[in-house]
Amino acid sequence: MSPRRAAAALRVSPPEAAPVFAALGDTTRLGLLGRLSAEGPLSITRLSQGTGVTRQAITRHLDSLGRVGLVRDVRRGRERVFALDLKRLEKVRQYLDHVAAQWDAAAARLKAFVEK
Amino acid sequence: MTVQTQKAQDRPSTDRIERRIELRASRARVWRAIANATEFGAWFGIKLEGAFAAGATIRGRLTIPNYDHLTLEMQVERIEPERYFSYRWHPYAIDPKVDYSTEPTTLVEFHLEEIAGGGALPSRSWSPASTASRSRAGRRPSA
Repeated sequence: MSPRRAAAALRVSPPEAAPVFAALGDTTRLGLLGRLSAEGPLSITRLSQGTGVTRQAITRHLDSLGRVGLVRDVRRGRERVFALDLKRLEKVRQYLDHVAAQWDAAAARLKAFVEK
Repeated sequence: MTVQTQKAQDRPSTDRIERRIELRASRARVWRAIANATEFGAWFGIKLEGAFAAGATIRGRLTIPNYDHLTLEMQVERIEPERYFSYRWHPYAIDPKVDYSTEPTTLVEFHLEEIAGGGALPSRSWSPASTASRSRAGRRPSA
């Protein structure tokens, strides 16, 4: 007897989100975001303390996060102070919601099409 | 209709969209609706010129109201009969004046399986796999 039911799973990977998640895919960078989240804006000096990672490396990581808009920096005297900026993450979320809504409609049309 | 969104599950996925739908149709019927370009076009709303083949690029004009002035290009990636179909495209290439060919593409994958006896869905573990890394990261699409 041939099966009369099937399940279709759909996966869509929009590129919009990829740079943000690539930036998050590193334990040092996640650690930096964790500290900025818990402690508020911090200087590179403060962020480097106790990490065992050089100040230059921390700066590079912060710049990666800055490029995708997860942190922003302001100069305070001679120092750069970094703060979390989650607007970018929220935009990625909104974009995914929009694409998801379009696919929900397409899935409903597929269902109607094969079940008629 | 059963549509499970990832939001309702344990592991929220934030860099991709995953949907699972249960269909009262045979696997062969569903496969045809997905892998036959004419049938795909009928429910998706696109009039495709040509047939799906792995590695092929085919174009089509959308037939969805308000979007029917747009032509999209699909790059078929992989076809495993009655099991898996994937392609890439620029889903929100909504400005005919813009050249989207240099923009990163979205990977769309369909996984099909039978549901034994029509009872509970067999659990399927999604490997976060390489989909995110395979979708070329780069500039954000202008759409």
